[in-house]
Amino acid sequence: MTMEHIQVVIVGAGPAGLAAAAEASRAGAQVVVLDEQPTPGGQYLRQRCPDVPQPDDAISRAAEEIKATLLRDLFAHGVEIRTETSVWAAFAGDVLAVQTLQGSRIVHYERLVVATGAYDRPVAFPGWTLPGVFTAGGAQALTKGYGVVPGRRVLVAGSGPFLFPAAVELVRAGAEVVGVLEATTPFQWRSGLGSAWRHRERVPEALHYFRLLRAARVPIRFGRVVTAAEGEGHVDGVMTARVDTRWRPIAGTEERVAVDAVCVGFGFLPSTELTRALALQHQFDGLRGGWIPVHDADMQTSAPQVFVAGEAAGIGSAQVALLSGRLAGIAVARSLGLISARDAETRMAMVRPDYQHARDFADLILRTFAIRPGLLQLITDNTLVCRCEEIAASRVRARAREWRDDLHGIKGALRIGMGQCQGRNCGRLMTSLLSDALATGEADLGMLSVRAPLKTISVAALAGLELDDE
Amino acid sequence: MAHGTFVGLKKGDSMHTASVNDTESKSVIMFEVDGRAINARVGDTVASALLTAGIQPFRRTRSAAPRSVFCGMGVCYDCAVTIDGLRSVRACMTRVRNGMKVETK
Amino acid sequence: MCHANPELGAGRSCRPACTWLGLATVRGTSGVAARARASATAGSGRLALELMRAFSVPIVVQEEGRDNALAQGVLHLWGICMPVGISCGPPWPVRTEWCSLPDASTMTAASLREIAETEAVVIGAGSVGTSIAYALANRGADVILLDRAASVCAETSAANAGLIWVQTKVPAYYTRFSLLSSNLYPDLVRALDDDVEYDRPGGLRLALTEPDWEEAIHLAEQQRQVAGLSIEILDGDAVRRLEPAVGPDVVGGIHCRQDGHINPILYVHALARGARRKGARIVLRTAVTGIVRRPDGAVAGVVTPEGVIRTRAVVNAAGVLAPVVAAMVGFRLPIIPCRGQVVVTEALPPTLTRPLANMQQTARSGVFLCGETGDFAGLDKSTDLASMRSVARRAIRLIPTLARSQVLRVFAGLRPWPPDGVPFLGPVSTIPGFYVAVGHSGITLSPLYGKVLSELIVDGRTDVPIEPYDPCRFDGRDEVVFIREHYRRDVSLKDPSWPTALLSA
Repeated sequence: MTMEHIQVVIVGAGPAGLAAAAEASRAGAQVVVLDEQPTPGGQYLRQRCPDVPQPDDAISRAAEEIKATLLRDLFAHGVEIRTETSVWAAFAGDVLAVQTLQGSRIVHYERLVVATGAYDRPVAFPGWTLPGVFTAGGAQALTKGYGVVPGRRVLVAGSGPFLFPAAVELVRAGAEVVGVLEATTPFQWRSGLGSAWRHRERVPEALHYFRLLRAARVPIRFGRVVTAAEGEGHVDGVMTARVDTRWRPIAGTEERVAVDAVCVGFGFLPSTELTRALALQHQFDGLRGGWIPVHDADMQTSAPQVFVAGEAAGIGSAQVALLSGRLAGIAVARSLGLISARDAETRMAMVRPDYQHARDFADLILRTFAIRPGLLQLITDNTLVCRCEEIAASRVRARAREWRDDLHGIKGALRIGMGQCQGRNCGRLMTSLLSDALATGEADLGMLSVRAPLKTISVAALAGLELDDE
Repeated sequence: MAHGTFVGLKKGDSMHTASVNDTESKSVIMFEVDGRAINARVGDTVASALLTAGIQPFRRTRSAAPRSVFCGMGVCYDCAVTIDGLRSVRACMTRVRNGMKVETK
Repeated sequence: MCHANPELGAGRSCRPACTWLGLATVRGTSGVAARARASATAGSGRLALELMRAFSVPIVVQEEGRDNALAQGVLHLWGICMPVGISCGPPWPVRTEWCSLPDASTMTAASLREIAETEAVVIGAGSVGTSIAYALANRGADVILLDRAASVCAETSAANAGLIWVQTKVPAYYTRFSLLSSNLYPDLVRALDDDVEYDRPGGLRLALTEPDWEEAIHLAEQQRQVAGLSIEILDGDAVRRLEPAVGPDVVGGIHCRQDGHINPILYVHALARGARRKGARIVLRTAVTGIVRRPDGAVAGVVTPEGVIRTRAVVNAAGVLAPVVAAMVGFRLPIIPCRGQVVVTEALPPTLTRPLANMQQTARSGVFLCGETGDFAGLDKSTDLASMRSVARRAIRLIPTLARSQVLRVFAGLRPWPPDGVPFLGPVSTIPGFYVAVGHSGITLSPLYGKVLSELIVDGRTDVPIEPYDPCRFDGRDEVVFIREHYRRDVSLKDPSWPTALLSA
């Protein structure tokens, strides 16, 4: 088996990756999309479990329609989607190391689109490592994708519009959702009202979820957060409290809720392991998820043959992902000479206004529901900040009193980020904690270094790797 | 079947998951968890099957703390179990197959 | 305005290191000397600076009013008149992306300001430099440890397999040297009182083929002559009785009781904490950009972007970048980076107690660190698939159960490689106060470097035999053939682009 040559490799079969594949293949490129999940669609277009009654509302139908159209386009133009396929390393010479069920191989690309999406931003509080604590995204994956409820009595907590669809999916899958806790209050949304007017077409969607939750008698409470999860071996209840405008818990407002699962969602972080492994330039954007790959208006990164699309280019929304994917796909086609610059400009011109509009709305949401520093107060000395290596906050705080580490330094000193998750769980958490403890800007703490393999592979798979010279 | 290509999704097909593997039964998959026989549905991941069967926790840390699914999408590695002798495989990213042997200890 | 680094002590009065800038002597490449006179007030040597920038040559700083045509002059330094010459970088082009060597445009009156004073400056906070700083502080000496990274243990010391290895070190004087260091570890680790995952259960060099086995036995008989070294020759079954996880392909092994292993990152951080507790000052994010010397050649201070640190001893422990630091005093140090790639597995239950020649399982966290590759790729720290694969294949042959475990990460480290394979350790006779401590096996030798340097600096002498490690041993010799053999490339010690030629692939 020698190295495989593919004209356009797209990593990630979510909305952005599929949209990029559609545009590039339409122009005649040979496109292969890789995704480590068992089915394509990413999170937003996640394949629904067939055993669960399919929702029949306009929004769900619209998402299904988008997916159906995309996939129809893709297959019409010969795009190959390879699932259960993960990219675990990037090497000089435009080469990727790829792992499938059959083993590992290497792939050479002419153009690469990184559409690796995002993941829930981990927020630490006492008991957050207990079985029964899920991220909101994790809850949605289980319910929507597999018809499995994370628990029988579930609390949803966090901040941002994503909490509502997550709660709705829980209801659909048969869980008793005892409440949705939103950390902000509607009063705090007032500064965005002016801009919200420009995006009023989104209101029906928001109201739709609100109505569904009301119909299911799910209480929605504003200005509250989960402050701790409790239980022996598994969650059996959570403590909640009211918070002030900085999300600091207000003493005397604590309540206990008996639940066997809690789903926490405080926004998302871009999956940038691959872009960092490619040594692309990154910049720190606190609003859109932290360190994100630098890219131009055509989604081209600091490496001319690498493009980025979707949440990996900066947190936005599903709409932003779809539209940025289209831009990336058109740009790839142009850069391969498959369409003329004028053609590309014409096609992009049809996408850009919608893209900008979606981007504006996404930024508005991000600003309105941005995480606030009071949450750091939830972290007691015993709260783990590195889940993999089981390192408590007390060690980080003690270290910060004596040394002015950056992320790389504290990783070496305390082993934070050296576990299986390679810093995905703890990276941004450490950045917030340290920047608070050291009174220094988050960007000044640097990035955690990324090392292959980006996703773990077995020693046997590494030993069995077939290389070009054989 | 090459490369784990998404089988069954071609122009004109239905949107739902077709059979994962030619040799599997259409509705139920039998596999083993810590020596116990467990059922799963076609399309289940090891994580969804274990959660449905009420098997907790998925693993214990070095300090014996219990862990289970957290992120549900392959990022956190808290759901990692041993599958067919291979350690630390993410349960949420692995589809169940007939005869699979899963260990949570 | 005082330097803000808290390590150097707030509130310390900062005296200007010089009254700027009476006269600058500029020597052009054509050999014609040009002279410029500039005003004597601080910060206004602009004309001189322009000329220096144009010619990029050593400058001279002088007090106003003094006539001078040579590269030495009198400087009002630190309130005392002392003869001094400041060399600001070699007169040959040097790559600057990895070290900010001063060119004239960055030299200002401010950067010549004294910001601290100490007995010894150690350059490089890896396993070598941090150990030296700890040992000096332990002896009550005032020491400042500098590193351009934001943390200690930023480079090679964080990218190796953590072995404390004696049994395969040759020749015999180097074996004894390594043994001495290994024997210092237990007391040092006890004194550090920190979990550094240290253990000395003895190490095993395993052979997978008959020829390997014969070679190993041959070396073992030699090493048995070294006093204090316990060597046992074991056949494959005996090896597997000691370590049941060892695979059936292994035909035999050499066991040495004095071999051990450690977690190198935890160790260096523990050294740093210990050094600080004993009064050492650790100044990070600070590159060394020049070294101040007196006309007799002795070191007088170290230049950093924030100012000058006055000191009577400078230790070059800069690892792979040691040639760059050495160049600051016009000293040619032949060290080439030798890249080694390491595969780290997930944490596993206790499987292997004794370290092997190229891998170990750390005592507490339980990860396997597997390495053994070596190639000369300049300062390139990228990993390649072929090397990773060869490490994985060998690891599985030695410990078959590893096949079913996950690889967590792969990284590369750069070993500082001397032409003859043994370290550079000791003073440089022509540069009083300048010491070198560089070489590979910085983990094995870490405690001994600390002992030797602290004795040299505090007592003026050491009982440890260090003659074979003389930093000047290649002086005056054109070792091109020798280097070609060891480095497999042609690098002349007389190469005018030194040390760039050394550090490139």
